[in-house]
Parts: sequence; structure tokens; C-alpha cells
Amino acid sequence: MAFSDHAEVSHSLVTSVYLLNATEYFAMEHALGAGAFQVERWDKTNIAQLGDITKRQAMFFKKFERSASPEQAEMYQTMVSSEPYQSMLELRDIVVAWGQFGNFQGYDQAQFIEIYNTVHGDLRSLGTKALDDVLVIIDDKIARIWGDYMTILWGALAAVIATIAIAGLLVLVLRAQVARLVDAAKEMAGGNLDITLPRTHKNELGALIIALAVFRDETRKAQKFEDESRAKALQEASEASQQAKEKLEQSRYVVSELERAATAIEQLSHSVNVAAEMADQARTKSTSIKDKSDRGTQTVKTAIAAMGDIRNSSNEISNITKLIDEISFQTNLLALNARVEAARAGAAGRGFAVVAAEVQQLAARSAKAASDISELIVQSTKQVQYGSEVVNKSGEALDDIADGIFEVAEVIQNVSATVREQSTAIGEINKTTAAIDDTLKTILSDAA
Amino acid sequence: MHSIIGFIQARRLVTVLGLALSVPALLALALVGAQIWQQNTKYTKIIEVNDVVQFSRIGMDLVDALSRERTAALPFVATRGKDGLEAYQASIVVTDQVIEKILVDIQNLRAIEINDTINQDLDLIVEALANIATLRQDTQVITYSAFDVIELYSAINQIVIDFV
Repeated sequence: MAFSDHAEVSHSLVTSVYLLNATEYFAMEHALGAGAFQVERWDKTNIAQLGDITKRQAMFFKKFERSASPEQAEMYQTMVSSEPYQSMLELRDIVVAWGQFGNFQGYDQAQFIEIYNTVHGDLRSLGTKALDDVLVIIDDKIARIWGDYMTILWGALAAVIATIAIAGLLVLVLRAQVARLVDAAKEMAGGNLDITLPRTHKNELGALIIALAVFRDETRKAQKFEDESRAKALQEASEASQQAKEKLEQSRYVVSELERAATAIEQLSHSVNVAAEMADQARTKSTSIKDKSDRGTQTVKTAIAAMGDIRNSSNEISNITKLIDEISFQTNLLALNARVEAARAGAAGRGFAVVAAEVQQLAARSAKAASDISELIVQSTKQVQYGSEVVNKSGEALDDIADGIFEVAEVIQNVSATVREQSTAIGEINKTTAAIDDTLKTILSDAA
Repeated sequence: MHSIIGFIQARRLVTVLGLALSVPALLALALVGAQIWQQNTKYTKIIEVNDVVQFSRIGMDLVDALSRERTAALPFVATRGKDGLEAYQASIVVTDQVIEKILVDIQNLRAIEINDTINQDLDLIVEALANIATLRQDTQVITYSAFDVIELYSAINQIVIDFV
């Protein structure tokens, strides 16, 4: 049987087996003796068998002695030193020495039986004790196993409870610490940087707290810097906005001006075109005027010639009026003479006197008329002279005008050419201005 | 591996700590289980040993009874049947009572889980006990010498002793 796990039990059992074997050989000796004593004789064979049996018996007893417990050894020694055992040894020696002769030195069968039964009983008791010892050891083992079993169970239970308790404690502690960190982080995330972080320790959470503290401080700095930058940026933005507004306004003004300029350019272009047309017309008209001026000059010349004719005619009329005046004078003289003669003729002459008076008056009126005509002719001559001079001057002026008009026509023609070039340039400017206007409008639309 | 790390990292702190602490706890439980299993094995073995030793005590009674029967048989054999028959038969009755008891105990012992070696030893005992009737019969008709009888009974006893 494998009792490798229970060496003590195994040893005790082996000890018991030694004792059982020794007892068995003793029982064989007992049986052998019982037969021999029954016939009151030990033959040689029996004695030899007894020797063999006792030898083996002794061997097992020795083995038993060596492995017996102190208590068992003491019991064994007690048995060995007991009177029955000593008698048994004595009887055995007697049998060996004298058995074949039937001489048992005073021991009879009854004594043999008593001695051997007693020793056999002692050996059985010792064997029982050995096995009982084994059972005690087994019971002890069982109790120990149960003890260990219960120890393990209670230990395991205690370990589990302790683990759960420690785990719970750790979880609570760490969770509380982490929860504080999470709250702090949430506060920081919410923008509250005026938080007090938990105390630090030299562990990972401590490192995290330190990192959070650094983050908080850096965030504060960054926030401060950001606030300042934001304020500055706002200010700059405000200024920029203001500038932009101003620029916008300026741009709008520019656009407006550009529009106006465009309109003006269009108008200018139109005007230039009109001017060009008008220049053309002016050139045409100047040519026409020049022609007319030429014709006017010709007419003036004709008028000057006519003035000369008029002056000549006036001179002739003046001569005629002089003649009429002389006639009127002669007439008046005649009328006067007639009146004198009529006066002299008296009544007969009255009628004549009246005619003479009338003639005189007529002469006077003729003279006066002639005088007036003469004066008018003089005056007319003067005026003709003046008019001739004026016409002459007008002719010169007309020549000058014609020359001027011609020059103006040439200038106008040059202006017209220039205006056409300008019109083309203005058209380009107009296109460019329109493009700038569109671009600025787009920029303004985007800016708005 | 990454999925396991990812799984752990995705858990809540309480869960991770619980897991971290449950691992040694589970290991401890496993160790305790192993210890309990080991103790149970030890207990089973010691109980088996206990049963065997208990049986050995009865076996010792059988050896004692057979020894007494043998001792009683020898005068009968030595006298070639003239004396000691009654004593021998009386011892047989006592032995049979022990045998009857031990056969019951063998059955009981077989009922528990015992190893094959024990079973085989028990088979040997049962077989030897089955042959004891023949031995007795032969002894009573003086078939054997005194020493043969001693040897034959001793053989049976040795089987029982060997069992122990």
C-alpha cells in the first residue's frame, strides 16, 4: 500500500507488521510446542523447525525493536523481561537441549500452555497496541488534515474578506482621490482655474496632480496672456474694424467717386464725342463761315465799292443840291424881285405877290431842302466815308476773322482729332474704371 | 493583446481595481482550492489507510484466531487424531465467527473507493479463506504433518499479514 504521504503511519504500520510477523512466528512456535508437548516429545525435525522459527522470530523482533515507538519498546521490554517470557525462553532452551529426550526439566504441558498463552497474549496486546497506535496516528492525521482544512478554509475566507476589504478600501480611497482629481479637472475644464488641488504624494496620482497643477498654472498664464492678447486683438480688431470701416467708407467713396467718375467719364466721353462732333460741325461750319467770310469780305469789298459809288453819287447829289440851292437862291431872288415888283404893282400885283411869296417860300423850302439834302449828303458822305472805312475795316476784320476762323477750324480739326483720341482713351479709362468699380463692389460685398 | 489592453483601459477605475484585486483573490482561491483538493486527497488517503488499518485489526483477530486454531490443531495432528479434536473444532467455530465478520468487513471495505492493490490483496484473503475448509478437512483426516499444518495455516496468516 502506498502511504508515501503518511510516512509516520507507514512506519507505524511497518512496525506493526514486524510485530505481527514476529507474533506469527511465535504462534508457529506455540503451535509446534503444543503438538510436541501433547506427545511429550520433540523430535529433531521439530527442534530444527523450532530453531528456524525462533531465528526468524528474533529477526522480526529485532526489526520491531528498531522501529518501535518508545512506548512500544518499553512495552516490549516489559514483556521480554516478564516472568512468562523468561520462562518461555528457558523452556525454549530446554526444548532445544532436552526436547528430543522428552526431558523438559520439570515443565509440563499445562505450564507450557500457560507460559505460551501468556506470552502470546502479551504479544497480541502489543500488536493491538501497535495497530492502535497506528489508528491514533491516523486519527491525529485526520484531525490535523481537518485542522489544516479548516485553517485553509478560514484562511481563505479571511483572505477573501481581507482582499475584498482591502480592495474596497483601496477602491474607496483611490476613487475618492481620483474623483477629487476628476472634479478638479472638470472645474478646470469648465474654466475655473482658482481650484485647490489635492495634496500630492510620491506616486502616479501625485504626478498627475502635479501635472494638473502645472497645467492649471500654465493655463492661467495662457489665459492671462490670451485675455491680454484678446483685448489687444479686440482693440486691434476694433481699430482695424474702424480702419476697415473707414477704408470701406473710403472705398465706397472711391466707388462712388469712381461711379461718378465713370459717369463723368461717360458724360465726358459723350461730351467729347459731342465735342468731336461739334468740332467736326465747327470745322464744317468754320469752313462754311470762312466761305461766308470770304463771301462777306467780297461783299464788304463790294460794299466798299458801293460806298465809293454812294460817295460819288452823294458828291453828285451834293452838286445837284448845290445847284438846287443856287436855283432856290435865284428863285428866291426872283420871288423877291417878283414881290417887289408885285408890291410895286400893288393890288394887281398882289396875286403875283402871293405867287411870288409862294415861290419865295418854295424857293426857301427848296433851298432849305437842298440845304438839308446837302447837309444830309455831307452827313451821308461822311457816314459813307465812315461806313466805307468801317466796311473796309470790317472787310479787314472779316479777313482776319476768316483767317482766324480758318485757324480755328484747323485748331478745331486738331482738337477733334485729339478729342477722338481722348474719346478712345476715355473709353479705355471707362472700361478700366468699370472693372475697378466691379472689383471694389465685390470686395465691399465680401467685406460686408 | 492590444484588445485586452484596450478593454482594460476602457473600463472604469473601480472595475480595473476590482479586476486587479480579484486576480490575486482568484489566484488565492485557486490556491486554496488546490490546497483543499490536496487536503481532500490526503484525507481520502488517510481514511483509506484508516479503513485498511481498521481492517488490519480485524485481520489481526483473524490471524490470532487462525493461530489459535492452528495451535489447537497441532495436538490433534501430533496425536494422529487421538486427542484434541474437540478443542480444534471449538477453535474452528471461533475462527469461523471471525471469518464471517471479516468477510463482511471485506465487503464493506470494497464498498469504499480502494485501489486495485488492496482489492487484489482482499481477493487473496477471500481466496485463502475459501480454501480454509479444505485445510481443515485435510487436517482432520490427518493428511498433513504437524509442520505442514503449521506452514499451511501460516500461509493464510501471511496473506493477511502481507495485506497489512
